[in-house]
Amino acid sequence: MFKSLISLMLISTIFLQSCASRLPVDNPRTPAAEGRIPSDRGFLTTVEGVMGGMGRCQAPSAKELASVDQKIHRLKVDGSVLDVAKFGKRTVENYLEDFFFQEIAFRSHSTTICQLKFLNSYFDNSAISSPLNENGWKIYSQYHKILNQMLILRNEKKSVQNSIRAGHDPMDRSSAQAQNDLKGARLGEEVAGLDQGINSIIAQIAFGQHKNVREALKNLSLQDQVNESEFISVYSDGLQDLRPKLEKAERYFDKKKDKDGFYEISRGDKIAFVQSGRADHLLKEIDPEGNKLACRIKAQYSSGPVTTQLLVMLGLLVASVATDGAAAVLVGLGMTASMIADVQHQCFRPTMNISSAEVNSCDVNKIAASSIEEASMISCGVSVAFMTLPVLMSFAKQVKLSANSLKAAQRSSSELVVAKEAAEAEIVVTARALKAVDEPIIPINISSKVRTEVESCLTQMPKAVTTKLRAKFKNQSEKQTVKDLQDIQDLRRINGNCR
Amino acid sequence: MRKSFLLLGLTLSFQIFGQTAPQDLEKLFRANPGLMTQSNPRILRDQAKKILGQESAKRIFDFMNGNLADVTLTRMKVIEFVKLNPGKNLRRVVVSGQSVTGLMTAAIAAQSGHKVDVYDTRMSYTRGIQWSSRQSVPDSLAAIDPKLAQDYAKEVAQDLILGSSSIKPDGKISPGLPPSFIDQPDPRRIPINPFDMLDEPVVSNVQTRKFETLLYDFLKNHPNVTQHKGKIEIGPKDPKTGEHIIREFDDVTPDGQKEKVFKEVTKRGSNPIVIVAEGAGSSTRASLGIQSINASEARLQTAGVVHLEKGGTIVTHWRAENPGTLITGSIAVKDSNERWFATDIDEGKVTPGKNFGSDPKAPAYVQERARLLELEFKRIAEMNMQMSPGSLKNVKVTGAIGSLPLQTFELQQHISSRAISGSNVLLAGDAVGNGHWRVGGGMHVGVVAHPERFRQFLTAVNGGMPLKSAVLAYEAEALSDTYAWVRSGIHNFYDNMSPAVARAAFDEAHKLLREGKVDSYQRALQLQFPEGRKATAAKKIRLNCSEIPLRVLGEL
Repeated sequence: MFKSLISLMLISTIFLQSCASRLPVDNPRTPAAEGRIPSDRGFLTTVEGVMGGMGRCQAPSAKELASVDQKIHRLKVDGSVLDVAKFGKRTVENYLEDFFFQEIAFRSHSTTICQLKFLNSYFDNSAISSPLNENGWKIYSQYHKILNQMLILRNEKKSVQNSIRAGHDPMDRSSAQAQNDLKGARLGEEVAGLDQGINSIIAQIAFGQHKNVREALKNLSLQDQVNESEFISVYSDGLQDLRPKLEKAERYFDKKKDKDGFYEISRGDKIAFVQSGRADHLLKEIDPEGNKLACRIKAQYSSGPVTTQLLVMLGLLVASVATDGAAAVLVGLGMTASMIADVQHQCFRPTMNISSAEVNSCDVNKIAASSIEEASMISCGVSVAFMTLPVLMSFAKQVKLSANSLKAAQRSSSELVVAKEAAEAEIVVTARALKAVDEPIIPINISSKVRTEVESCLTQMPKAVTTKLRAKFKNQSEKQTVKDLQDIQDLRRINGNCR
Repeated sequence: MRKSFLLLGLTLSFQIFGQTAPQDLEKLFRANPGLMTQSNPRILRDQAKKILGQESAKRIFDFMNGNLADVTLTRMKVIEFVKLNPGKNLRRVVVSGQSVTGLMTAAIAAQSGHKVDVYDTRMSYTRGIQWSSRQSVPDSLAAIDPKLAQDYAKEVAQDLILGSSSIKPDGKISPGLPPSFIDQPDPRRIPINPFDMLDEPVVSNVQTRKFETLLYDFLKNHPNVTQHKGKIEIGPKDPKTGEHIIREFDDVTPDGQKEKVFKEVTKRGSNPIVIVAEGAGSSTRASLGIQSINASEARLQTAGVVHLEKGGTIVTHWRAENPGTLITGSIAVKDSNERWFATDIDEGKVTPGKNFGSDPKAPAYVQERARLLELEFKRIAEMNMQMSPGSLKNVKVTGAIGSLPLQTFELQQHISSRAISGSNVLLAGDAVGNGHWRVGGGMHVGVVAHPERFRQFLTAVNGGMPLKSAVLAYEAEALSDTYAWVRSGIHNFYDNMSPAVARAAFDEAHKLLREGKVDSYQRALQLQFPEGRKATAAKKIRLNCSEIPLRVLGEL
């Protein structure tokens, strides 16, 4: 009962969110948009009226505008406070949104400039690089083991997903095929969830949110053992690669900024601000309850991974702990959700969120000190992360079980019962798989294009033949197996179809 | 004045052999200039029967079966007289490519009275590659001009005075071909069927460079030929005639400037007949959308020359047909201090060690690979020449082309999907397909087989056959020739394969390709020879559904 309810809620939420994200929302500064959005109703209230049941965001009000205006009054360009009148005739919501994104753009621009200055100092000044490296290593070494396991698991699941995808036959309408498709889709979500978790951990290290640094550290984490010098070398290389990216970002913002200090912000920019997490910190600052501007902004612009993947993670937890009973699900869900949400919030904000005052001075030494402090104690919070770790470990184990069961499920797809709910299906699959069904004839890691066609032919062979083939494919190289499959396909082409 | 003199000379000569035979020939050649380089008595008789009637046909047949020297002398006198004034408005011929095939086809067209333009970007030859040669090569040259055949025998070809030998993997030499000599060239016996050509014994080896230079000089002095340092482009087809529009470019150097300037040459006369006689990688063929189909596996080869301090005694010519022989061959001339070798190379033996990195373009890597290649080449040369290991010390080694260093190259046979385009473009030689291997496919297909087909084509066209029909007939024959030659050497791509087994598998591959069940001969052969190069027997390929997995399991 509880499982069904939770699943239904999750599905509804994801569905509504994806629908909302597909509706066109233009830059409110454009004249066309002004005419499209009613002045007295926000976008989400409009959506609410159409869709129904979307009333979780409060409608904008003059009071909220005054509050926001108060909180981001630091928005200054060349020492002068922005004049509200400059925005012209706008709705309250448009004001709010524009205020918000102008502030985000300004902070991002300033942060980029300062980060660049900081990075340049990192490479020129050992007084900055040494403590940053040391601190990074301190954090990394604590999490290396879990990162290593999560990455291995993630890659394994990705491989299973790929093999399912490779075996997809669009002409096959059988229940087994449908089941496999379902598995493939769910595995994709699980991989995304694991990515999220891995990113969260790496983000604790200064500049760890940036892709270059993150990917470098991910690769490093695939090693069983890592020493400090290896870490520093990789970390330093990642930062080196980051420099040109920041320079590019700086040029981008310079171009976006007009002579009055306003930024030309497109819808794409807004989505990028929200999905990259740059908006999170400020949103929490101006809307701590998260039911006003934060709610509306996320609904409009965060169709990407942040919220969806959090839900995916929660969904996975539901599935993975389902066997422990409904009570355990609720307890587990409640605790884990809050912890993960916290990690999400803390880690998915830009490294070194510095205030405008700090930007103006951009004291590298001061920022370095604060970033070190931030990275080691505050940002993602060591304590929070440590609390999360056992959950993630448990989660990882469950996912691994799930991955294994999926492999087995793929082998015995014809014996599977299609369940209505994903979680139940998972249990059925697992239960059946544990009975040690036959392995697939073609190993799952073979993703040759000919796989689908050949596999359907092979299943028609006598069991004695398929057993021998299975053994052959298992004991020979992947290259030889692909060659054999190609031979079978071509011989079929020469001699006619088996079907 | 000159014409009168020639006619007088001819008439006097003809008195000896018969009252009217020379006049019959002259009439025949004027009626169909395509026959001027045709020496087969039966073909000439059949054509004469249609054009001149039964009696003249019989006279020509008897005359052509007479004394070779007399026939040659008379024929050439008539040709010399007619070729500059054939009495018909013959199509201009454009030849793209001035290698062996282009040179031969250009010579045939020119001797048949056609105005010929030959295009190539090179004007000299550096290839040291040597081919085996059968008797049909000098015979075919004699059909064009007896002097060509004489010069070929004297300056280009080398008799296999000491025969040939082959070498086994253990280094032991076994006898190969017996000593052989070039026979008196006789154009009347050129084999028409490619299989007949293959039955001819190998009589000599030929240095490509010398052969090309001989023909190049012949064309240079030919009144009907213009050689261009340039290229052609084949434009779209005229929808009415089906003929391609041809653009020709001369490479000119105006006012002594060194820069190359390509200048479009205005079309002279009617749209020409074009012979694409480019190499296996022909860009013109590719521009026409004609595909080159793999006909064999590839094997790594090297070829080069060992320059000895003293003349050797062994004249070696390719390997024998016996299974178990190493794929290598060397050709040398008696008393010469040079040995030319072609041999398979094991990639593993010429791959530099880890110390040299893995970048094949790095200077250190390139240098080391060259060193290893030379060592391996010398080792095989020593075996081939029955010398003790390491005795080839104070020698110079050069590659197959000029003085370039040794290089490896992949040897693989190909056949094109088409041999014509439109109704005025013919492909010939390697552009149709290369059957290179010890059977001398490249040499004979390009020098004898396809030029022979072109000779037949000119006979047909100048005899009144519609161009469209003539090109289709040419294509059928040219593809058939290439197929025959590729097939004859297909077993050489396997270490211990009997020719009969390999050829049967190739025939099966051909059938499957025709049925559209495979994309290349190579793939069909792979399915029949799963062991690859080590295969000795072919696996069954026509199977029922349940047998297919058994094949993969090795149970069938």
